[in-house]
Amino acid sequence: MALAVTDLVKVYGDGDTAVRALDRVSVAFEAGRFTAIMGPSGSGKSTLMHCAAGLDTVSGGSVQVFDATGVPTELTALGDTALTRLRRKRIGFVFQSFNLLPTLTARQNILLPLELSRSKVDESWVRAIVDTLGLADRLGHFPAQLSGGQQQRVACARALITRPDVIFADEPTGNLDSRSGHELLELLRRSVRELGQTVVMVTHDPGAACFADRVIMLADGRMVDEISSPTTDLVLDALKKLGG
Amino acid sequence: MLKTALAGVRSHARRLVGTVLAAVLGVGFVTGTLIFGDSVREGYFQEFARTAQNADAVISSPSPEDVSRISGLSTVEEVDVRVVASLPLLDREGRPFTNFGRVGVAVPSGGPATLRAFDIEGRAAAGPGEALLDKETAAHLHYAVGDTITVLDSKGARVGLRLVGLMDFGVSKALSGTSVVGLPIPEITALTGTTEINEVAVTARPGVSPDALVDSLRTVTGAKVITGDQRRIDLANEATAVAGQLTFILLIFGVISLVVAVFVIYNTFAILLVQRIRETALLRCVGATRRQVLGSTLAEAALVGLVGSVLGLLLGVGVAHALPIALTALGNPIHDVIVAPSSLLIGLITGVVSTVLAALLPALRATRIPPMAALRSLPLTPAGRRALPRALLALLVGSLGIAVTVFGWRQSDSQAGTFVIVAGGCIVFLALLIASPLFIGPIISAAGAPLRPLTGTAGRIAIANARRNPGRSAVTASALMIGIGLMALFSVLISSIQATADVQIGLRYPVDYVISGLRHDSGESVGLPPALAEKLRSRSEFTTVIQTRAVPMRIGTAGGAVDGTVGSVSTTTGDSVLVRAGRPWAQDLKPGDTITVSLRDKEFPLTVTGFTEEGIPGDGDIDLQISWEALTRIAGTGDAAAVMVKARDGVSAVASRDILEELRADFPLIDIGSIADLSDDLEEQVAGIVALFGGILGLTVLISLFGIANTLSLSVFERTRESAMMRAIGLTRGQLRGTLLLEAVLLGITAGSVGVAFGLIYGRIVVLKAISVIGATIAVPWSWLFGLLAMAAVASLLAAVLPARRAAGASIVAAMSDT
Repeated sequence: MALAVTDLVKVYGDGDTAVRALDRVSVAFEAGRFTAIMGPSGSGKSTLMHCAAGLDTVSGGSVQVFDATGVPTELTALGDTALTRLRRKRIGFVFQSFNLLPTLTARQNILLPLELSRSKVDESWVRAIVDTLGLADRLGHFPAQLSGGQQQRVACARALITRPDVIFADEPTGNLDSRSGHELLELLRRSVRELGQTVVMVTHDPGAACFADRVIMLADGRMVDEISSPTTDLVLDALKKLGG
Repeated sequence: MLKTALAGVRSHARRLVGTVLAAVLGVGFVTGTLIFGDSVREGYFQEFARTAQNADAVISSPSPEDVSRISGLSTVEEVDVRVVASLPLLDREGRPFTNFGRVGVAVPSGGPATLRAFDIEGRAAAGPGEALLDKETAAHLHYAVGDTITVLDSKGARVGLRLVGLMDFGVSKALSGTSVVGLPIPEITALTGTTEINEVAVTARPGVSPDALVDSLRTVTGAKVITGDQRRIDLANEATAVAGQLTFILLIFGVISLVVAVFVIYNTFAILLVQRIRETALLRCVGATRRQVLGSTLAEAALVGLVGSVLGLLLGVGVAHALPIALTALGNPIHDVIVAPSSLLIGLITGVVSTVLAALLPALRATRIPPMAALRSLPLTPAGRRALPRALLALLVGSLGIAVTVFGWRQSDSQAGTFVIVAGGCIVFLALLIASPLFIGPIISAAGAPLRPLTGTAGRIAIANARRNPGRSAVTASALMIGIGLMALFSVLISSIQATADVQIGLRYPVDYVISGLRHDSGESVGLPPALAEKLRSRSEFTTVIQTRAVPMRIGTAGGAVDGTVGSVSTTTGDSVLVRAGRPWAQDLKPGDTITVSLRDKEFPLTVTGFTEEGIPGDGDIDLQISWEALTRIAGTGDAAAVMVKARDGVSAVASRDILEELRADFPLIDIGSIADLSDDLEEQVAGIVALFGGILGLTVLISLFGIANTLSLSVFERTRESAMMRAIGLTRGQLRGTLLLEAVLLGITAGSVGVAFGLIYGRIVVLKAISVIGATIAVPWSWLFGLLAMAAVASLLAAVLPARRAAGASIVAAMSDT
């Protein structure tokens, strides 16, 4: 187990205008697995990710991150600074865009989380990641000099650098052409298979979801379906059911 | 398109606050200066007008005989004889009552009420032993009608006079601060020895026209006669001229602050329009022409300028009230603040026009945004920087500035040379501003380098961010650069002048005390009788007693005789005749030429032996310096301008001072200054000037801070998503805040160090040229300069507090979904 949310509730606003974005969602993400979260717009998939990753506060329920030995940490009990430190060391992120600091080179961007926590750089680990992601000859480049796909790969490398307990990817292929998108998803899958990473990806693209080991379907703030070993057809069917 | 402009202002209201404030301050100072100028002019005018009030004709400097003939004319109704004679008043302790080192005056008390410049409470002084005193001094010294006041007559004897009335000068401040004693004219002559009449004002008999009056007056006097109207016009012109000079100096500072404001406004609009690229592109997509985009942006700028200027006008009225308080020491008449429509109009137009001009360049850039930009999802980076043309332009302007500076340096006339150097300095500074995007990055890195170990990643990110857009950083910094640069230049200038004076006093006159006379109201010093120096020479406590003396003479020149002053120091002997360099009539003189001076119609030829750039202690304005023997031969013995003494070794400061203080019993009108006091006095004066200029220039620094706050909050805004990403991957709130604060501090230090470096270099050059002849001593006020640097850093830090707090407080999720 890498991360578990239990009875998670997130309410935006209050009184008449209150919106229940998450309504008692419970889901566990096993370690070393690639999980995709899907659902139509407004289903709460992004909110789930934000709450699970400690980016947003919750209205109720619990979020626990487990370390390699299985010891849980309750995120909802942490203050902002403690949460930030936890994210820095134990959670990795790949966003749809604005992933990199334009003022830093690819290598500096990759090492940023280590710098923030003033941790030592494990050069052999850096080399392993960089080689896996095919970035060896791009390390000295600035983000503006990289293609969209390369930028997302640098973001992946940055997420991997701290060997986090879990990596969250929020529509990581949203801004990529289909070939670069495929490459990126393949890399995410390889990091799970070969490096033993845990990856949770939010996507609305059934094709992307198929790269995952498991797909969780959300609708109206509730978990409504779950597909193990997904294929495009299975995912499309599930989505059709939701869309009516 | 006006609607879009209005909507633009509304939706960016918060981001425009800094811009408006910059305009407010700039316009406020300009308007304040104009209003202040009007008020001072009106003050002078009223002041002067009082002397011409009701007069039908005014006769300048008539003889006493003229006056009696004038009084006898059938065309003349009333006559007011005006005399202002120096008459020291003693306070209750027997010390001279002085105002900035000047003693009081006596005026006639018995003029007709319609013409005289004051009202009397009590009655006019009618005979010997009776006197009037001005209300202000009476209140200050606690005198009332019936009391006896003591004055010093021209021979230094104390004379008691009974107060029979008080004089109320009303709004007139001409003699404010000075003691004014009202006496019958014969008594003035008796006490002061003055027979000179300044002027006579007369009124015409009913039925006599002013012109007829003037004609009849001209038949009895050879003195200059003008009508009262002409006099009033002359006075008005004079008032305008006097007030104009003062206003001009202040306006220069006003313009500087406006220029800084323009930088800030330009900067804001430049950033604002980059942020709005997509909006603008969308407008173009739906059919807005380039002209409409330009019009809309300029309309927005005009609106901002208008709001800023209107608020600025209010501030200006406040400034106009505050300025007299800062400038009272300059002795201007104070008048109620007059808010002339023209001043307001000028302020308003200046504000709106400069805001629109500042926005013009960014607005033109905005028109070049293609409609396609609306569809692009990537944030637009600023257009490629053309480093080479910029470097060439900076080099060109810089070389021109240096050439002008060198040209100024080579000028033989130090004053003209100094002006040329200052102009060269302005051009060099312009080159610095042009080049600043090129060098600001490395300076930021250099400034940040020592901080790196302390600040870690936050520091590195801060440096990278500050360097990210060198163009913008440069514009932001340039506003601060101007303010700090000027402050640094002034502080180098002033402390060097002080140091030079200190060194000169110490070097040339190894004395302990300088005794000088108090000054008459006219500004002339009271002479020190030879007996004073004799008395000091007789004391064994003093080893050296030096006198200086200055005697007014006619000096024969190639272009005719001119009034001048011939000075000497009692230690000089022989035939040395030094001509003051820089006098227009001395241009073609060379050593060996003969120059003729005349005194009391006797002529004395002198052979020029050299030139000097200096005056003598007690009179800095002499035209010729000759030996003591020569001066005594020409002018006989006479009063000294200053007496300098050195105490024998072993005589304590207290003992020597006591001896000098004893002199006051016989010579009450003396001022005793120790060299240490002189230095202190100088320092005090210098501190005053520094405070005044510092205050005014501080305003530009304040305006530039709005620029920094503006730039930072806008770039924080631009980096919202980036900051959110950083927070997500592990940057704590504190680190984010620290990054932004550090970025501001780096900018501040960078701007400050460029400004200080400029001030240091040009301050030096200006000092060396301005006081080249006496060998300027350069004093660099390091503590001041470091203070300025610290001020720039701290001020920038303060400017960044709000933007940093806002950025750190933002929710990550909300910031990331922000589009």
